[in-house]
Amino acid sequence: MTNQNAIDVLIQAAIDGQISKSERKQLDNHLDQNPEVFAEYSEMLRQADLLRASIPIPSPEHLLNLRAKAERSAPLKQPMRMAASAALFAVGIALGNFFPVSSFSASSSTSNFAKHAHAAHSLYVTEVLHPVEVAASERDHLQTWLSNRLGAAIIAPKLGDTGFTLIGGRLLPTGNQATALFMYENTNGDRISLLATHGQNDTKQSFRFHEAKDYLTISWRDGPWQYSLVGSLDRDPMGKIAKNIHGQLI
Amino acid sequence: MLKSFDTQLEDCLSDLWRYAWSLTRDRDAADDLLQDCLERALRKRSLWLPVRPLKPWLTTMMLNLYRDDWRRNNRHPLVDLEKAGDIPAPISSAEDRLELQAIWSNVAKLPQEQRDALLLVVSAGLSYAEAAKVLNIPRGTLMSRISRARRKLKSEIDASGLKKIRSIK
Repeated sequence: MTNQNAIDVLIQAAIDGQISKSERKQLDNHLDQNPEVFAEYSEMLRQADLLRASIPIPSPEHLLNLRAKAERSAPLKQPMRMAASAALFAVGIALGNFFPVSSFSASSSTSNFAKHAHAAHSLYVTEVLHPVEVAASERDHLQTWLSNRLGAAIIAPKLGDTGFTLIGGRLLPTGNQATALFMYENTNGDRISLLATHGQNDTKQSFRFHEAKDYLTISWRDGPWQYSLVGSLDRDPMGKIAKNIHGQLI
Repeated sequence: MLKSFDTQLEDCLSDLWRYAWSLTRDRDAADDLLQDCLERALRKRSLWLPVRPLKPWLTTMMLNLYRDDWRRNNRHPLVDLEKAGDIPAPISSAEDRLELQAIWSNVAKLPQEQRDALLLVVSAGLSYAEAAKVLNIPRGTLMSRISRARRKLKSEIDASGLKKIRSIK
């Protein structure tokens, strides 16, 4: 192997101590035959070691102390932080943050829909072969079909900016209403689902967060539409994704 | 079998602090950043999936926290290492200290994607696979960013004449 890139990769792996024995042999062979590359490698290694050694090492007592402080203030500090951040962000998501995380306790229709969304996502997210009925390759067909069944135009939002791409969608019943489910996936294999149904009372409701059994559900209403986004990500990316979707579906 | 949340947390505290230090380059700021990160982690504990290792999850959290809250609000402006008597004692030679100042200030000047890749591996002590996952990029991309970062640092030092001092000596 003399390809420049391949050697480069081996050099970095050697510097970081993440090189296998056979790779090490390959690298040593190459360095033996190329003194100028060896010089380069040695210099980078020396600098890397210097850099690593320059990062201070905290004492274990100091770390335990910091951890204890965090444990004491974790439940208390939160409302203060939220209040401060609310001033910075647009109404929607910040308002959502203000609502305490509930475990589907309120029996409103939003909460019922969130519960339904949670159940649907939990059921389909683990499906390797058939997570969806219609794949993203047939996006137009999927959107037309679901729009017809819901009785109003629905599009699958594009979440490229957030790292998620559409896998596809399916049709589900919610009570006596039709619900559309769109499932997305990122390169980590994390999956999130957006559920939408149409024909509720004409109301607006900002983001509500529900956490239960491994999933976070964010629900909101916009006129006759009701939406829930479900996934196992943190609030931070989920809230941003919900906001992104909200913007596209207005 | 994966270790418990608490045990894993304890195991990675030191690397997390070192990562916080390398982002902020200040001991007090590193304390604050780690504490913020731990508070967030403890609040979100229920969202952590026990089948996943904790360290990459926490490191991602710290990086996001730093990017979103810290740098934006400029809570702790980056300290120049010249002021910092912060370099640990084992590095005592004057040349090394000078060179380190230059290296760290060049690290600060690296394109963000290269700096992120380098520090996740060097100071947070993540494996290439873990660091790639934190940045949501393929491993090959991560490694080429690290390679470009190191080459850039080397050429800056080569150009600075610091090595000359060293070799004359």
